[in-house]
Amino acid sequence: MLVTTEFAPGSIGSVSALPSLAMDPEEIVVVDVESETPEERLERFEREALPLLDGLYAAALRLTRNPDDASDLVQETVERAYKAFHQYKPGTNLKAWMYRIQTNNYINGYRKKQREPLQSSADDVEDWQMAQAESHSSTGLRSAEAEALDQLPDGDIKAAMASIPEDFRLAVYYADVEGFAYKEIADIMGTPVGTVMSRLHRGRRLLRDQLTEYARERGFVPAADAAEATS
Amino acid sequence: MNDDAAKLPTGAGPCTEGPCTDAKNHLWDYLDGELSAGDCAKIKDHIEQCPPCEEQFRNERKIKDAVHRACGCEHAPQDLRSRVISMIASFKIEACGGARLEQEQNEKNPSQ
Repeated sequence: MLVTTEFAPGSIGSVSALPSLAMDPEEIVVVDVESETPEERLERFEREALPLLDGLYAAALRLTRNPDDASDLVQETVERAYKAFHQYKPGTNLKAWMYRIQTNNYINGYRKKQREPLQSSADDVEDWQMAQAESHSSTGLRSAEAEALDQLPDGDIKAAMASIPEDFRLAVYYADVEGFAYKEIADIMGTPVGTVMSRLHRGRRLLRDQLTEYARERGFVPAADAAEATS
Repeated sequence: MNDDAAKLPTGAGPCTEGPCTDAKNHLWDYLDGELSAGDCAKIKDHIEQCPPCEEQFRNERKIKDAVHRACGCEHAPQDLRSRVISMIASFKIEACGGARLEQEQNEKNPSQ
């Protein structure tokens, strides 16, 4: 069976059916997956999957919040992806396909044995927490607060990300760092697009609150703005 | 993707409640690149003519930029990279068949 980007078959809603984001039409490689030898498949896997290692690790860090767990998770993801690589349709979005394997791997098993304590899930966010975030940010981020974000060290931003429920955190990570479309995030996380939009919305509100708090603690937000923002 | 966005009035004239509300409702769809080219152009037209909306869009964009900056520059540690490369080498042995690889090794190093 010859598969190209333009004619890649696949069921709707499957990550493997998504067109590749960065595929240049001139770079479309026609792969005869049925006549491909195991060695050729492995070479193709190595060539296409290894460049994704940094991104997979960064995403794993957001999930596990622990470098050792993140490394273990990525190694397992690569192993699972290789074993399932015959199911991957060449020319579709390999990155999203591997992120989905990693996310499933984490949710379905890895989370149980991770070193970090159990994390809060989106369901654990109390209504009052969301209401507080909503009221604080009902008028949006003030300019002084927004300017302060430029000065915040990366560690504060990572800590703020780590503080929000993992479903929210992952949606924000996939959208803001990886640049995945809502539909792709929905496929990776196995949820409807509406759920992704809701997670992004709520996650960003909580994140904004936390970042503003850090900026205040560091004195980056003038007192008048801080008082106004909390009133 | 949003039908509502298609109905957005263009931003000509004084800023009224309607267009600002519509723009704000689609703020993240716009910043996340989820709007069609037409809807995107309507929002862009509006915020270019409405300083309060332009300011809000610019401010919210900073959250997205901050996350991208802080979380987008991590590299897989060398130890992980080595482990993955070793694992792929072991897959290679499985894929090629141990005997064949051994034969290749012998051809490369006939003295061993």
